[in-house]
Amino acid sequence: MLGIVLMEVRDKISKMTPEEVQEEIARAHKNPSQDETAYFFFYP
Amino acid sequence: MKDTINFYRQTNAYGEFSNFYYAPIVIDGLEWPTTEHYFQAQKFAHLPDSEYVEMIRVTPQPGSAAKMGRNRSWPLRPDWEEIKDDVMRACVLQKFLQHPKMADVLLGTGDRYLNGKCMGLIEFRWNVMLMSRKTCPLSSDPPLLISIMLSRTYLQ
Repeated sequence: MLGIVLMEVRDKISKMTPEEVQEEIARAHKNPSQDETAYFFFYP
Repeated sequence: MKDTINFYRQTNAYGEFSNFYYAPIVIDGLEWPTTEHYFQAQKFAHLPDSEYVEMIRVTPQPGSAAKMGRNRSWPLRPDWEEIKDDVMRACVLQKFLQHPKMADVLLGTGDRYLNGKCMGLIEFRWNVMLMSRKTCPLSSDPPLLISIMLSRTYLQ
């Protein structure tokens, strides 16, 4: 499972622009008020 | 056939690919010591009292976080089976985005197949027997029953 996820992430990162990387990191830094706003619910 | 990269121990080559590798990440405004900590804690994020989530987050060892994640004294979130893959994807993505040097290592693997190896059953039972001999030096036989029970638990 982890190996497959890593290959997916490798593919995703290779296509991201520096701006997209910063946006994605900023999204993870937000503190959700409810579980439904947790970061993984909006995984790109 | 593509080359395969096997990884398991944090101290070996590509050990940073392990979920037990210490690479603090911020997700949902909180810092998590490893992706294992985040993954395990999300099993209980539905509970109104987040005390257990916080206990997992601050436990020092990723192995402890994994063990706490298997504790069913607290109810597993009902949709865990549906969301767990996305939880894993999200925290692994953030690990590599927030640690650019590790992202370079990942990208450096090109299109090679990545395989996270688990400790084999034989290796695991051998370790258990060695530990048992160490703790029970007067015993002539390794406590096989303990070994089998632990192996069974490990495989679940």
